[in-house]
Amino acid sequence: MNRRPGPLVTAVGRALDVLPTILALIAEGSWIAVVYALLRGASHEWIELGPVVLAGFAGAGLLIGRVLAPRLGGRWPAWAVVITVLAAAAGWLNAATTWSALLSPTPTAALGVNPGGWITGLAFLRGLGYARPSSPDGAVRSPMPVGLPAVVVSFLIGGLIAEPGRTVFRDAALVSTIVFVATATLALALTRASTLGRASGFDWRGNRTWFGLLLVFVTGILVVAVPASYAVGPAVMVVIAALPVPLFFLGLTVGLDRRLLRVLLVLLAVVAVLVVIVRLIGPHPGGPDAGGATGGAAGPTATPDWLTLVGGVFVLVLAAIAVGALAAIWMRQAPAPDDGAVAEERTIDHGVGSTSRTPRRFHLRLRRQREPTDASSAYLATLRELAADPPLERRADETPAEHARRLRSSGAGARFGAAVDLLAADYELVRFGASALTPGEHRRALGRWRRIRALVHRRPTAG
Amino acid sequence: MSEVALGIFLVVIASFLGVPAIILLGLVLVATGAVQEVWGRRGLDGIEYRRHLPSPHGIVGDEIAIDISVWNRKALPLAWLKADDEAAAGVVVRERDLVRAESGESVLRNAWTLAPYERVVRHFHVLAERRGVYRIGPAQLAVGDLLARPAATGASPGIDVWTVRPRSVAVRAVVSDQRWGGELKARRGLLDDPTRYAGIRPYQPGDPLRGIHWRATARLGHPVSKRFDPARQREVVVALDIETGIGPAGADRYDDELVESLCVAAASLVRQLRAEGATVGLAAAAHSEGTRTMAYVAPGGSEGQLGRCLDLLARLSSFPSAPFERLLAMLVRSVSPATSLVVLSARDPSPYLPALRGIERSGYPVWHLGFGPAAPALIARARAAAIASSPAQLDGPWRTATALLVGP
Repeated sequence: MNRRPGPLVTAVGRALDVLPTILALIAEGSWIAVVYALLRGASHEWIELGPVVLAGFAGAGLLIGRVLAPRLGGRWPAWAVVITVLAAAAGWLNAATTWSALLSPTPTAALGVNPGGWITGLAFLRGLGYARPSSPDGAVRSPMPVGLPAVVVSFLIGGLIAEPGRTVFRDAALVSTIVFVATATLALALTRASTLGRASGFDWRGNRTWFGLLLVFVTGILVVAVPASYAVGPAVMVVIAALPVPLFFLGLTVGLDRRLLRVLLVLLAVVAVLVVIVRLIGPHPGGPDAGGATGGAAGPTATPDWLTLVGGVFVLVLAAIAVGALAAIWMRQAPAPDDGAVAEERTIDHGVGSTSRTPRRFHLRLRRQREPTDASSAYLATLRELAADPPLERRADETPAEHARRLRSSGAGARFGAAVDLLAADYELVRFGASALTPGEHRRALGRWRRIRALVHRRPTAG
Repeated sequence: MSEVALGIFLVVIASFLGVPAIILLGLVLVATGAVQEVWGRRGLDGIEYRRHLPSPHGIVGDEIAIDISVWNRKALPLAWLKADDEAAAGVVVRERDLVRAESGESVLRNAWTLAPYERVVRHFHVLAERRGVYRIGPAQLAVGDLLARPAATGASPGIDVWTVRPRSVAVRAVVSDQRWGGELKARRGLLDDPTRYAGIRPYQPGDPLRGIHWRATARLGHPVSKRFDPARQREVVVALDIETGIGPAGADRYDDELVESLCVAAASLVRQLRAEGATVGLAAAAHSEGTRTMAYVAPGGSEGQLGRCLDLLARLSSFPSAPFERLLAMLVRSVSPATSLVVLSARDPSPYLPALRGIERSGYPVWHLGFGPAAPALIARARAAAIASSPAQLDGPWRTATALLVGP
């Protein structure tokens, strides 16, 4: 589309450009928040920093890296170390216990206080990584390769913490994990699409269906997986516990050779070792560590606070709907992708004579979504409207101008006046004349399309 | 599948340890793995990838339009679809730089994001910078899944070929009485075509008796003969000596600018001869397509003859495939008697002058055109051997020249 974007549209376009980075920074903050929660839980302290604050540190790292790295040149690495230490110190000083220790007669003891606070330095450092220019081989920076193992290991270690630190950790870390999963998945997908798009000339913002489906997928999987994560554990335990028996009888039926027998024995040994380990390191329901509001840390049968869970899922769905609506609005307002000088035409084409099994109502909704956005698509949309009426339909051997002339001269199309002519002229200018229309011309063309659509759908008056 | 396996592993381990958060991560991994599997199986289904080349011919300096269209004929959206079209050496796309693929080939890389049933057409222009035959395709396709990860790959086998013909410029003869057909008396005159009756003329001694129009003779009272249009027009073969004198025949050392200039000059001569109504052919001792060592278009007067000659020049290798004398010997065996031979050469004619003299003695009018900066010396040698020779020169570099000047 040949329109000159206004300042608002440009700003919206930039906001969408940085959306993957913002999501990646939130994901970084989230997994670091899990590690932070582990450190605080282990020292039986309150959680003072959440994913948002840590994402802010990562964002600060990104901004400072982008601003200072080009200016400082070869001195940047040394400065980066200094600034990262400062960022870590800021996190450390954020706790009241640190200040009280510093103001005590032995201030050096403060160094052993609030070890989790130093983790802001890690968040800042991760943010610095996003300040680097894009890799020439198109490799995508993602929080997933580091974040996922860190979260898993944190939860594994977190199971060893004595109560109430374990409950504190798990409560805080679960929220951070959900945020991490959602933002890291979205960030990874959008960053991949953006990186490839920049290199190869497309813009993911043009594909609302894909983005919508991505949002639905991420939301849906969390809505299903969060409650399921509490239900799957016991079910898996039951299945695994019951598995050797049918396997044994199956083996007897088909005949156990030495190799199969060896495999089965190894499996049984592994299961036995796992059970022993769990018994040894896991919390004991009746032990002194048991307790806490959730009590859920007490083994595979952990039960969640269902009210909190349902509420969290509800908030999650609302957030997803809000993000989807905002993104849809932004994508509509964002400037058209600029792919150098390559002229491109996009149409939705179901093919000639294709029969769709989609219900009619769904059809109507899709059609509304495909409303034209410029003069050229307004003309094509007009042709679709006119195609419903054979006398008005553009024939295969007609040029746009000839078709418009026939309509104007015929009785059936006279009601449109010169609207079809003007739309056809706009289309020919854009398509064949490579001319740029002004935003006003696009707006007027869309108005003509609406008028024609209204006339086509108007019922004939009686008499 | 490794992602699904990792997810299942996490779910099992976390079930043992009773950590719902890790079960959650495991379930997410399983789901994302399943998504990749679905897109891997279905991603390339219903993808229609096409290139459209409106015209397979172009002339040096042209921009040849090429449209690339892709159609996602299914309800599954694609985060991206990437197509790498293999491009032959020398292909230049105006809108986009070619990139080097993992295989080392130069490729025209395109990527799209595709909604369900979306069709996208991109209009590219290929710059015809040098004569030759160019190819684009086949294309390697790859699609991304819902999370924009690579999901499936495939190939679109079609290949598009286009020919870039050399430029042709106006031929200006410096002297007005320039001749193409030769001043020597032909052994055979033009043949009349008995189907092309064109009237009567007074009888001349020597006219065959069957050519006398008896009824008109009786009516007019004096003998008249039937007149027919000629069955065949002047026949000329342009023999292009592609050798530039740098290396021996068969060696791939050549003066590139001079070779291209020779091709422009040859194309201009052929076009001029066709415009004058001559039946024209073209020959060169160089490789064109195939394994033949001689490139030859037999004289013809059809509409497409000029195109055939220009296509031959487009395909011609820049270095000779055989000695020029061998080409001359082949021509004598191939062309009809009285066919004029125009030899266009930019090197010392001494090696093939004996062959030219022999051809002329056999009754074929020969005209040598000395081309290039050394033209005066070349034509002097040819004239010394009693071969009619003239200098021929472009009025500028071959890319921008506007005329071929053929001097006295």
